[in-house]
Amino acid sequence: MQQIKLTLVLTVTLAGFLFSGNLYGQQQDDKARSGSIYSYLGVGIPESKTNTGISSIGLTGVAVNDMYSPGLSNPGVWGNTYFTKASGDFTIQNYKAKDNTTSAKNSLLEVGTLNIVFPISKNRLGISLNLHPLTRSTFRTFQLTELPPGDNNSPDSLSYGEENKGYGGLSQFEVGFGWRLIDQLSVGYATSVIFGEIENQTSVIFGTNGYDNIAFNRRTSFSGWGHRFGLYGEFKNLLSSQDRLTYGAALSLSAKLEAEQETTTDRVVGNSLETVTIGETDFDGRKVTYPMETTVGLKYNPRPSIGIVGDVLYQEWSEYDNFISTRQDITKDRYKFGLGMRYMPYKIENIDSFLSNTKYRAGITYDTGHLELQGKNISTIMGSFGFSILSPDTRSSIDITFEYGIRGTKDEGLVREEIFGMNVSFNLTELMFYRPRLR
Amino acid sequence: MLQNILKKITYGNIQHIRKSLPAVALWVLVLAGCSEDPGVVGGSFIDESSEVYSDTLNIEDVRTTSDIPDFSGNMEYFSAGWYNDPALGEFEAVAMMRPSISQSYNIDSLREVEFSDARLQFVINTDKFYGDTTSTTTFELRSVTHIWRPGSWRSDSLPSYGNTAVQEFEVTNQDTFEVNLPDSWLQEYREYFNSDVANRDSVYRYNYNGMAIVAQNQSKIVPFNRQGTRLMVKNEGDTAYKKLPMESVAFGFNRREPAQMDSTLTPLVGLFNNAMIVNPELNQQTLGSQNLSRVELALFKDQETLVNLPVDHVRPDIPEMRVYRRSPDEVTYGIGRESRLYRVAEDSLDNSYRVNLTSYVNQILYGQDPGVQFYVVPESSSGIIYATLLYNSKSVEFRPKVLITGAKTESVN
Repeated sequence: MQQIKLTLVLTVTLAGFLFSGNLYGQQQDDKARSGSIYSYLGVGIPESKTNTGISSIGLTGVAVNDMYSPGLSNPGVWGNTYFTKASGDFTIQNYKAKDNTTSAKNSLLEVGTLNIVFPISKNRLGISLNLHPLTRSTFRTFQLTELPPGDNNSPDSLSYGEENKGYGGLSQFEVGFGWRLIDQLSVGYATSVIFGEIENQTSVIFGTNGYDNIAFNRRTSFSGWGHRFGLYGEFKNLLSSQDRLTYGAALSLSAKLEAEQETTTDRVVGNSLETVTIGETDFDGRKVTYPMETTVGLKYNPRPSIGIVGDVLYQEWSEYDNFISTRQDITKDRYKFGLGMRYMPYKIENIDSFLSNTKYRAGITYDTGHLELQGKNISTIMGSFGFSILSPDTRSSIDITFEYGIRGTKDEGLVREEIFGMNVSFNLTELMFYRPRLR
Repeated sequence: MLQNILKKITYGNIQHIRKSLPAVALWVLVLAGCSEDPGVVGGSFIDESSEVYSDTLNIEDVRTTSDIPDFSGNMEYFSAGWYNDPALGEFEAVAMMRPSISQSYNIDSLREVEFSDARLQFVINTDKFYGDTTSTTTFELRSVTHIWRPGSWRSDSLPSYGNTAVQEFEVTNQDTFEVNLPDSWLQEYREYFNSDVANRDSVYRYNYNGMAIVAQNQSKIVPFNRQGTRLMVKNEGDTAYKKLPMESVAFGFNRREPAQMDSTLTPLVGLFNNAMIVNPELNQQTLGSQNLSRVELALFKDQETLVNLPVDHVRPDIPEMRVYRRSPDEVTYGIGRESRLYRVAEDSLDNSYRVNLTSYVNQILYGQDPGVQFYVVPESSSGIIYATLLYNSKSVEFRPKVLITGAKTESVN
């Protein structure tokens, strides 16, 4: 047990050291980790709040209370906490993007969520501290264009290449509590600060001598407050003596975010290279509306070792005001439907083998997406599979998830992406503040 | 018992696998992240963030000036001649020269004129004739009648000279020739040469004003090479002439405008006889952006009037157009020739001169606006008289303009 704990601690520490410069994927990274091309638009691709114990299904897990891994999707489950639980995770996603003329491959490696849940009163009142991404904007594009003869003060055409590298997104640091009133009803609330930066580096390189390259950096900063509510409950012995039905619902209110944008460039002034600000705006005090989100779900366990989970997410992206850019009306309301299953053989008595001390999960989701371009929804269908390796003593675990999905379409000049992802999460479960009773 | 042993072995293996799985997972993550090939997808729906544009800024403030003093002393060439250019008007140039009296050229005294001899050796650049290359130009050497110093002789001042010719010579198209000097001249010269007073050089310059080279017929303007022009002297019995350089040379010229001049054209004549002043309004608003890739000043040469020269008549090819960046109060006493200068060759595709102003414009946008104008003349530091015609702001098609290529930075995502 001590060796496994040590391994887990060392692994987390090493991973934190390696990826500290890219914490949550939201900080500036000169090496431009490239993700989905669609994260170029708006404030990026929305991320789902999920429980690490159910991430292998791809659902949010709003109706799932995993005893050994902390939940993020529903404040209501925090009141049903017995152990102190902490988790962190890393994800890599490979994108194979295609349009009607060409293709590209991009990779994204990033830290996901940090989440800690403490039981103030075991199985009655719990507190959560968590930091997680709300959106990600990580992309790299390259375009070749030319100004035709006569349009560039020259009898010849002027060709140039434009590279756009973007990184950043919105993150949420949240503090909340959950309170189990009765088995059938738990409530929860969390308040949070929403913050983030989206940085877009643009470089223009001309193909003709005598033209200086142009490079500028546009950084948009956001900040605001968020509020979230949750409900959770369990019903036992509905159809059999071993079955259990749980429900969950979570509501995140829309948030008004202040936004500021600064554009800088490096220019030679006199004899030295200087970084100069060429544009600053606070958009006249207008605020970005981060949309309301609501999730409802059900989980049914016909027996302790099997769970069937389903949930639906709705985000009101039609309320997102795109005043930051010149493109209008590209967001629409988003729905995400998910269905999955968990198999936990370790809960079956008299089975003790390597494979039985592992949790298995699989699921499929359909996400309508929050973007509508050229009259097309940018939807995503994703299948996931994963397993958890459990520590036999403390039930700490390592979860490994594989996912494969398809996003978008090649119609109307858009891009279709094949996504292959892998996630590793670490769950630490400890019985803290426990005073053993002597017999 | 065997089953228990097997269970223990199995359990030990399980523990080993469990311990190594996190490290394996980490490596898989890193290796899986190494493959990347960002291509050009999404080009049809991804808007340009940069919005590259080209624009043209017509320059309204274009003027000419003949008031900038320029000094023609001791240049590589000194010019003399007389020519009527049908496009640019009538040119008259008079040169001055004063030979050295240095005694360090293997001769320290001159004997009486009966026993000594003097002549002038001239070297001229026949490639830089301005006028009729086949005609014969007659020049007279006359005595200059005023004190002058090469460092302060303005090129727009014609020298004054006496009525009597010291000597006469003709130039057709030879590049080297000699002219005998009369005894009367040699007599005067040897008195200064043989003097042994302590301030002999000052006395010489103060009292002897040298010779002017004056054209006697309209033919061409001839550039005399200063280094090649020598006073050759010898005493009887010397095997060869001793060659003394010209201590001082200078020239002045003026130009009378032609009877008719196209109002869309401005004559530009070197040594600031006539310069064009271009004053574009350069700021972020007129330039369109603060992100500029190329800003160039375009000036266009006349393509019709200049070609109408008689057969065998030429103008010297202009090696470069010079564009000086100066504030108005800096030119009151002249323009220092080699600083803040753009040297521009002619673009043969469209007969234009293009000056790259990108660095200067960045200084305006991001530093301090120095408040300068641009003064345009043909190359003017060799002593050869260059002249041309450029279009001014009255020309609709070929007026001076600023050509801008840059990128706007509106957010488009």
